Amino acid sequence: MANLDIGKPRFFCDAVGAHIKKGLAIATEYPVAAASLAIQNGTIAELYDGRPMNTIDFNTSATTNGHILLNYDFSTGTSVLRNFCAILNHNLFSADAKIRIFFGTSEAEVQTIDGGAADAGDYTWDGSNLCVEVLNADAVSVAADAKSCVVKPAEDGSTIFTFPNTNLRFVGIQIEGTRSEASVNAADGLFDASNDVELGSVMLGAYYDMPHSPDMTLTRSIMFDGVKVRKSMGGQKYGLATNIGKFTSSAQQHPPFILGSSNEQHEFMGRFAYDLAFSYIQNTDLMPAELLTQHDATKGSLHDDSQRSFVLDVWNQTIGNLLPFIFTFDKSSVGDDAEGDYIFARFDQSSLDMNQVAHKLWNIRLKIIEEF
Amino acid sequence: MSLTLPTNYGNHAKTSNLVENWIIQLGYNEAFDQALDPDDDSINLVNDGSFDAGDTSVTVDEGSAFTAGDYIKVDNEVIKVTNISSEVLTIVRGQKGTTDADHANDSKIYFDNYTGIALSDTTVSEVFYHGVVTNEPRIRTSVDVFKSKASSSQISISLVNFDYQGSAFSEEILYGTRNYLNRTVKIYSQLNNDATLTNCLQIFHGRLVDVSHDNDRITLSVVEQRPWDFIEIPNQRTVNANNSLGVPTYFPIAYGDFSANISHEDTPALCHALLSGQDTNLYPIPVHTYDTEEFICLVAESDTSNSSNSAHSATPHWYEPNIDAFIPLLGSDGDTYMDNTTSYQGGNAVKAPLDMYRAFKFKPTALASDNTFTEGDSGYDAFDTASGASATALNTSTLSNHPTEEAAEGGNLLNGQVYSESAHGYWNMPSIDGKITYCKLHISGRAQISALGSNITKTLYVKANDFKGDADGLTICQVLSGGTTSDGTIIYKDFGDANTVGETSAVVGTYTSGDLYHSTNFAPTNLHIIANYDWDVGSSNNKANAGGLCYVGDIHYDVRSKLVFDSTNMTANLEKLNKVKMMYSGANGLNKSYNGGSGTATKGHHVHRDMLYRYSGWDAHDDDIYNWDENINIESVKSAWTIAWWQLEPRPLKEILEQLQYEMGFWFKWRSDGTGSYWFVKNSYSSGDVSQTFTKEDISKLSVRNTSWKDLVTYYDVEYKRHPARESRYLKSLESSDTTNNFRTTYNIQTKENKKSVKLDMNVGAIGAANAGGGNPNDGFTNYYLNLSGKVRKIISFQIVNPAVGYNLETGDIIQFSSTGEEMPVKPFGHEWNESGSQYYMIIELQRSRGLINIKSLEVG
Repeated sequence: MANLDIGKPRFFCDAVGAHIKKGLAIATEYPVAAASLAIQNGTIAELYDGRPMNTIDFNTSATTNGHILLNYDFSTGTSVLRNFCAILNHNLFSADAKIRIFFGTSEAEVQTIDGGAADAGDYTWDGSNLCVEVLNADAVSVAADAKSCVVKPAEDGSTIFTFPNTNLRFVGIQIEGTRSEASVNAADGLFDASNDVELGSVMLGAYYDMPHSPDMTLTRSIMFDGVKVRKSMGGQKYGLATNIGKFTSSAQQHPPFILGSSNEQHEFMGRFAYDLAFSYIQNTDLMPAELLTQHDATKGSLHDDSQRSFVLDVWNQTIGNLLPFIFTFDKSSVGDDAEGDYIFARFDQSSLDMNQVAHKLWNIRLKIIEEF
Repeated sequence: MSLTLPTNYGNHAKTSNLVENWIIQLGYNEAFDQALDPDDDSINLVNDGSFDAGDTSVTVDEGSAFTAGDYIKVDNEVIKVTNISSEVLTIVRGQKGTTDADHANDSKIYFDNYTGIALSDTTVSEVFYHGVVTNEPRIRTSVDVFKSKASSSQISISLVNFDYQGSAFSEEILYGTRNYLNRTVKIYSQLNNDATLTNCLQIFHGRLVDVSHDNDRITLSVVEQRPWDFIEIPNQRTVNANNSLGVPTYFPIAYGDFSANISHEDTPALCHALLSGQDTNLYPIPVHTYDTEEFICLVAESDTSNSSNSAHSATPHWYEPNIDAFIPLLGSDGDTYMDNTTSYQGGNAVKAPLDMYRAFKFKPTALASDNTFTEGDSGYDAFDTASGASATALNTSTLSNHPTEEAAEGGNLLNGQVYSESAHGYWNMPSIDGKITYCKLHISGRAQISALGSNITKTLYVKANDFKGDADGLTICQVLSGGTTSDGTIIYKDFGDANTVGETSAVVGTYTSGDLYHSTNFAPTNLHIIANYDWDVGSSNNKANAGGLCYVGDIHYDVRSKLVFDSTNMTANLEKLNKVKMMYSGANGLNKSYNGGSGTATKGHHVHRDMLYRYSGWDAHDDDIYNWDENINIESVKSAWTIAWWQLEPRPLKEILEQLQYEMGFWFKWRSDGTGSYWFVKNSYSSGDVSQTFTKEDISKLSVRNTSWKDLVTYYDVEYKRHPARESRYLKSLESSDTTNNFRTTYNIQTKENKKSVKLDMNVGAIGAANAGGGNPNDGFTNYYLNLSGKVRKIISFQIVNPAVGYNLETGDIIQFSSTGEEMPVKPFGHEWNESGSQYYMIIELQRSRGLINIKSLEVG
């Protein structure tokens, strides 16, 4: 959006990272499938370490017709809502790669490449039920067998896309080649023979939209924290910093949400920070109907507004300021040129203070600071 | 001098306002080591004649050295090993930003296994460095030029106990799947986010020694590599295997150009510890054991191709304490017993005869209390002491001991009377080990008689006891005037001249006895020389006076001795054999075993380098050792600083290396990239030596002070050249001060004050001069240290805030301060910044932290 104007904020919180931190799963329970190419450098856990600059790679240049298949099992008891996928700091464009996503009710349904074993009856992909670009997910197409949906980034960098809500336990995310493909949704493409696929982080979860915009009086900061200025006896000053934000001179690295084609001369450095106040939030937007029994079907589905709330979907998913998340101050800002409205951030506070200002109306204040 | 910055790094530094990140490579498993064969530690090389770019497998000498997942480096290419089948490695090429390339057969293989951490997340040469470091590490290096010792402090690195590949990093760093402890740690400075490792400056090379952690933090302790830690030398023992003789004993360590004394039957010689021009150059060799024929003595190095009866003989020597002499042991043929070393129980040895047969000379000393021989003009000193003696020849040039005898009447002599006088000289007969089986006397000197008046028949007999009971059994000299000598005529006679007729001019000769041993009743005793004078006055009147003189110039005993195992001496000599623990050899010291070295290590810096390799395993080619034969060039400047040193019992290697550095006036230090370097203070400095000139725009926190008074040493009393047989005794000494500049007067130092006693165990070639100010500092030990500590010097401390002028510096570098206009805010005391003789400063302490360099520098010239 123009001038980074503030709209209605959206939080993209990672369910995988939250599961691991809560002890519900360990990283190796989100493996690459047997049908997948193996990781060449790195480990699977590094995809979920919340540090997109720490990449893993696959030797796709040597096996251009191979597939990278990531499997997720969210288990029965924790069938939390999911509606977005983000792959941060990737080089899928350079590696001639795209993303295919599919769901299943059994592990076997997501362990076959191309989503071939997925049951279209469990989750129906069609023209109205498909992935939607948030960032750098330009081409979207449902597979011919309606078992999967394909997203094709137009650039290296970070990709976010949404899909209709699901609580299916098993998820498959496949990275496959695009070179010489018959069409976007075809599964016959090849990887680039020179550039191996590199992935920084994969996030899978549910985004949460604040019920309304923050108060008018908010603070946005662009910080160059850590810069020291030293002065000589003659008065000459010398500046020193450890880092200056998102910049990296490595061609392989694209901190969120810098794209591969970004003009380095125009990249913005510094660390964004927001101090946002939200007044008069309805109690139903703040807290779930039942704090400890959200999974009791008698208390309503997780899809229900009675359960979806800031505390459940954001504060609890990020475990306060433990886990980073993707934040945009205007959820309507999507598609091309919207990258500047998104930050990879975490809460700059360890406590969520909720002040009731009227019956069932609450005020909260959120401090959010960019990771890089 | 100074560090060579990568070009891009140097350009970054010049921008002054910087983004600086420190990236740290924590080596694991083999880290950066060269690949070896695990079975025998031999070098493990590429064994593939066609290892070309694009190959996905390579054959090596020994595949078991590698593990799947290892990164290896061949030439400049980093390669990942994914599988091992016997000697064939399956590999992925061109890793970590390197380029796939052809490699020659027998290329060396190095590991490249490390985990990257940093102050801030970064990717350098395609390797991600986790930005988890939470403190500002400081790297402090220093050098004590007064002790010639460099040091580096421990570096403490705090980091987040971050999630590393699914687990806390504390689970990885110790007792995890990889081993990090005692592995190499490299620290680089990355400027302005430069993503290429070769554009970063390595600022530290050390090892991880300690780790601690709690739930959210890890602390790493990293120290400079210290390959000498915990090592004691000597550490090579004899092998106590089946059929091996003796108890385990350390082979001695000896460095130096040692040489044997030459003394055998055909050419017996003096073998005193301190002979003029040929001081003892032996080192002790422990007796390991003996059998029915020979002692077996352990030596330091293999030394063969020697010749008998020469300085190049390894033959053992026996020490005679009563004459302070080292005597070569001989075979029954009268020649040196064993000239070459032989392999023995994992080392080398020489053997010695059990009878310890020797042929040699020695000198007696005068028994002053009984001696009627009086001191001459030069005193007894002129009668050769051991330190002034020639090994083989008697001293005939200086004659000082003499009896002066005159006819006793004092006034006129009486007609028809015979006057007689006598003088007695006594010299001792030192006790010699074993039984003397041959003994000759060599006495140099002359006699003379004279009279004031004519017609006096003058006779002088010089005789000595013959060691078989006859007090005057040996006639050394006799002077007969006959009855016709005229008034005032002096008649001379040199010792050993068989002609009884005197000469009219003074000549010194040598009397040599026959073999006294072969006479009957041989009983060595003190030597007694008698000079008998007779003046037979004729019938004429006015005989005024008569006198005689007998000069003794020098005395040698020429003996052969050995242990005799006859019925009389068997028991005593067997006991004696059991007590023989040490002999002495002039065999070569240890060779230069390091890369490119050959021959005996005789210079201090050669020995230092050999010890580093021989005992700690560190080695490098000459070209890779900074200042070795270029720049300040220790190889050239310290070429005269030779060594003679030995070590028989274990002692810490570190202590020995530091002693060596001190005595030889240099220090060794690791540079920031882990390479070795040698440093010393040069004789003088010029502008070409200056690494950097500072102005007030570059620095802050300037401090000027003088060297501590306690470090001021203006006078050295040096003892040097260790006595091989006597602990804590030295053969030579030197008193040295700077009498040219005479700083003792300048600083009001009283005569007995400020004198430092030093004992040098190693340095024998460059001790210095009595007047150190008259030569160059690197002429010798006292010159070197008096140059540094003999006067008060300036110390300048400051902080460099301008990275453009500080990132290339290291300790030992020479710096200056601008003397232009107001470019410095204050003068150093009463000096100008470009004060002649006091304008060059050596960096003696450097602390590097991110963006800051703290410097302490010492004025050196």
